[in-house]
Amino acid sequence: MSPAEATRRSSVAPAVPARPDAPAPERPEAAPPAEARAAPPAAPPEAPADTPRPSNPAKEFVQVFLRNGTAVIGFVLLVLIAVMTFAGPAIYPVDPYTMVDLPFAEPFGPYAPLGTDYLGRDILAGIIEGGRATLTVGVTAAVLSVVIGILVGALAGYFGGWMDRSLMKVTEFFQILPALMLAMVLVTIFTASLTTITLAIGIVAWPQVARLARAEVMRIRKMDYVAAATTAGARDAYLIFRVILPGAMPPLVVAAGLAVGTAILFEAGLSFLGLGDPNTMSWGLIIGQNRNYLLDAWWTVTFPGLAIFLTVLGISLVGDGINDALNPKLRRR
Amino acid sequence: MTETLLSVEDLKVHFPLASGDVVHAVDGVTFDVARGACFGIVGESGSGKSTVARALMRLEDPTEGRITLGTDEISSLSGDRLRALRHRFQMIFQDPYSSLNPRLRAGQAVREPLDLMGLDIKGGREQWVRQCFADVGLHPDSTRLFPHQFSGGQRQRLSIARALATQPSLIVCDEPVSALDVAIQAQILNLLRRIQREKFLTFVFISHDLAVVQNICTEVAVMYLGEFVERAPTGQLYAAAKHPYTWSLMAAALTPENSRRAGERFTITGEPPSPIDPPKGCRFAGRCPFATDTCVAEKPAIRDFGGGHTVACHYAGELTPPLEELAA
Amino acid sequence: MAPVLEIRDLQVGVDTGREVLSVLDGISLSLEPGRTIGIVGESGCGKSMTALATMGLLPDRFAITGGQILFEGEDLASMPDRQRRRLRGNALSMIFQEPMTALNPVLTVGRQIGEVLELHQGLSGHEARQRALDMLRAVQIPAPERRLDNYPHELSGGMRQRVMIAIALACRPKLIIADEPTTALDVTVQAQIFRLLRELQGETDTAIMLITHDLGAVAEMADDVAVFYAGKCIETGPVAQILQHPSHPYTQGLMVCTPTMRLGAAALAESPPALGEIAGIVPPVGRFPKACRFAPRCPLADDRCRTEDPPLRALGAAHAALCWKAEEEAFA
Repeated sequence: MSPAEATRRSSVAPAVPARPDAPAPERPEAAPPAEARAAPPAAPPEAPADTPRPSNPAKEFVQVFLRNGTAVIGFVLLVLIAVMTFAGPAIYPVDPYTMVDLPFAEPFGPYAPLGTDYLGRDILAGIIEGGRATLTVGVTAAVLSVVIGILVGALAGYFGGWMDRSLMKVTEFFQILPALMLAMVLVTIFTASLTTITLAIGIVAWPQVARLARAEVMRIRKMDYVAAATTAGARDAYLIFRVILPGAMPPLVVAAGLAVGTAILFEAGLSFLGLGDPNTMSWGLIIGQNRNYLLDAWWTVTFPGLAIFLTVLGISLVGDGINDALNPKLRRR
Repeated sequence: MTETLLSVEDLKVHFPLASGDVVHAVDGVTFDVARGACFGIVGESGSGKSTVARALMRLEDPTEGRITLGTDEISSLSGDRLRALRHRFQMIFQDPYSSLNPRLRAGQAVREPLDLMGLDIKGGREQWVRQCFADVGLHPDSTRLFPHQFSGGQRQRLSIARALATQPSLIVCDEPVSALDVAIQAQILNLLRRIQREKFLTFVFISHDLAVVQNICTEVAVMYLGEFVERAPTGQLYAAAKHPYTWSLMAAALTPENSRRAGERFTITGEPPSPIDPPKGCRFAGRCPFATDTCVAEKPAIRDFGGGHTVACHYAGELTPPLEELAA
Repeated sequence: MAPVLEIRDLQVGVDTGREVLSVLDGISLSLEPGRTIGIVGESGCGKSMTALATMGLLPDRFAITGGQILFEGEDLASMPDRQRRRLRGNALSMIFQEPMTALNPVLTVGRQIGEVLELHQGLSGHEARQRALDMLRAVQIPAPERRLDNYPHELSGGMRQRVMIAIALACRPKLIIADEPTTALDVTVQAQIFRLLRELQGETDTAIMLITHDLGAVAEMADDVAVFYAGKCIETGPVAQILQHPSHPYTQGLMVCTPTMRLGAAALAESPPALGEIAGIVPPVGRFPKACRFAPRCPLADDRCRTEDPPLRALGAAHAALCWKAEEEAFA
């Protein structure tokens, strides 16, 4: 190095001691340009007062979700349906199992607002009463399938090797079985109670979740922060449940929501085929019992059908909203 | 004075592929690192240098060989017995964006190793975390922030704080500055140098950048296709490198002060062969301008040229370096 | 000689929905045939934005808000898309940093090179294949006849980058924009690619705009240098001048930050000193400081630097710096 160079070197920034450069606030409102993303924003050093507040993921999630119009509509829809189902009997105290009018009374009549079925029972009361069973079966079966699916998928994806191969063989076995057929067989063999139906739906619906969970776990398993947790002394269970799965949750939450929709449709399908629990009112059961009179009394089938449609629609709108609200965090890097 | 902290003997890491082939990522590497030293491993991508780092950290299982840290052989341990030792060796990763769990606040990230290993610190873990933040030049009040609220350089400081939290004696740095901009790179390198001296840490420093390695390391090994081709104390290596591959790396390194252009400099052709089926003789022979039939047929022995300078080349010491600085 | 590319007072902004933030502010550059200009700076300084604006490939919500980009005298900024598309890949082409993502994974290498030729030069399939083969030979890919039918994933990183260069050069462009062309490659391969680019440039008189963060690459390739900081071009000049006598404190800072390798006797001297540092980080778009944008990080900054826009000072033939202190430094 020439002397001239040496002087110049010493004149410029002679190894300034590392300063705690003020951390950068995230500015979600301004999509950072491609380059700015590479060098994340920082508060200008002259404004140390600009230290960012720690972000609150839950609050951010709610904010993003609420900005999404269709998701809010879906959410409102689900709330209304839930209120109707669970608080409905108090507001509209009509016994769904007794005759209130002549069979096939048209809707908007004096006794039954949505008409009556082939036995003269109130359709509206049926929908309110049946919603409880339908939603319970839907949610329980979905939880069951998601739990099985995540467990199988996480173990397969995390351990790989023979564990992966054998678990995936099992998954494939369940996947190639025609799901509705299997559920029908299960319900036929064991009695057609709500529990059996729930179990049957849960057992046939998990392989999809398992495949998704496995793919996500395999992706995240390769991330350096998982290696970092390993070097920090984490055990397998900690790695799977505390480090990897939280990162895999966004798509799984959405899948869980959709599983509820699928389970509701399944329940309706089984009831429609006459395989539902005949002693418990459900939306599918109403449709199933009245299906022969569809052309004469459209309302007997249409209104419970509409209830199913709106519920599944609501779930999928909310699912999309959750997906969008969880995703920016993943894209934010 | 020169107590050996880390000793690696004939380390091999092979990865079997589904096709039945085997990737010879690391194929017999031996070195010792004295306490307080910084051992650099340079090489191109695919040379196996990162696999050495991951094997040292026991993130990959060694196929063969022994890794000894102090008096403990860590290559044969697993489960709780390995975990009980993990606080003594920590790692700094290349990419500060993927090496921090996006769901942990900065303070939690630094605290995590202490909690997981149940290490108690005088004055409490919380206070210690703040101390670690201060050590790496982060504001202690930023413990409540999430990683995405930091810049790239600050994230790397956070990774360093996390690695320091357990008060390790060995830190394995895998390309810790390659993902950073020049100005930030200088800040982080200076920080690493400072903490290494202040805390008398031992580093294994993996990099592809010869200039960076010269800046921080006390001893350097040049790795090619799973093997060390040359190893020497830093000054000795840069003053009198003897392996043609080392020369090619030196010639290819670009520095702003170097005005001679590629056409006038020593360059090698081609790219490294596949580690699935490495050449039988000298692995560099296919690209080496000095290679003879002997090189292709026979594997060169590792020869000692004194002062800790070892070279694996049949003609080491006989060839004239094609770089004028070295020839002088 | 008439410049191939002349950028005059280019302004680029990003629309955040609330306001338009300035990304590039008053960039002016000129590039003659057969010459290479190196654009250096840290991430977030606007290097790539300049390239993308020139190519007409600005991302969504980014737009040119002022100035001209004259390519052989025609303004690319105001040119209709259709006309610009005709230039792109033909007289004007780009080499990207990551060849794996820039190449189409489902087309063979031969098809991808041939496609450009068919599109822009109206060659028949057979002619295009022949020319593709010539191009692979020109970029020194071993066994080009076989490689023609390979897919990108069957090639190594260095080979893929060679294919990218073959595509970029297929139509004998007047200007190539190379955005960090070797960052993803190993040093020995990087040296090969630079050598290749220079050889091909010598044959075709193509002008190259090299975007890089690496001053070493600039020293290797460029004739002229433009240093970018926070959306402004803060120093321009011939490469030797800039690297040996950098005038802007930011350029000087970049020089002392970059670790240099010392070979031979110099290496045996005492252990290398700590690197110089530039404190802080590049301000993000929308938070550029007033007056001199580098002032908050500048060791020489005084009140004037923080209140008044710095002037563009000429410091010799074709060498200029946007700094209040540049002259004092230059003559000190």
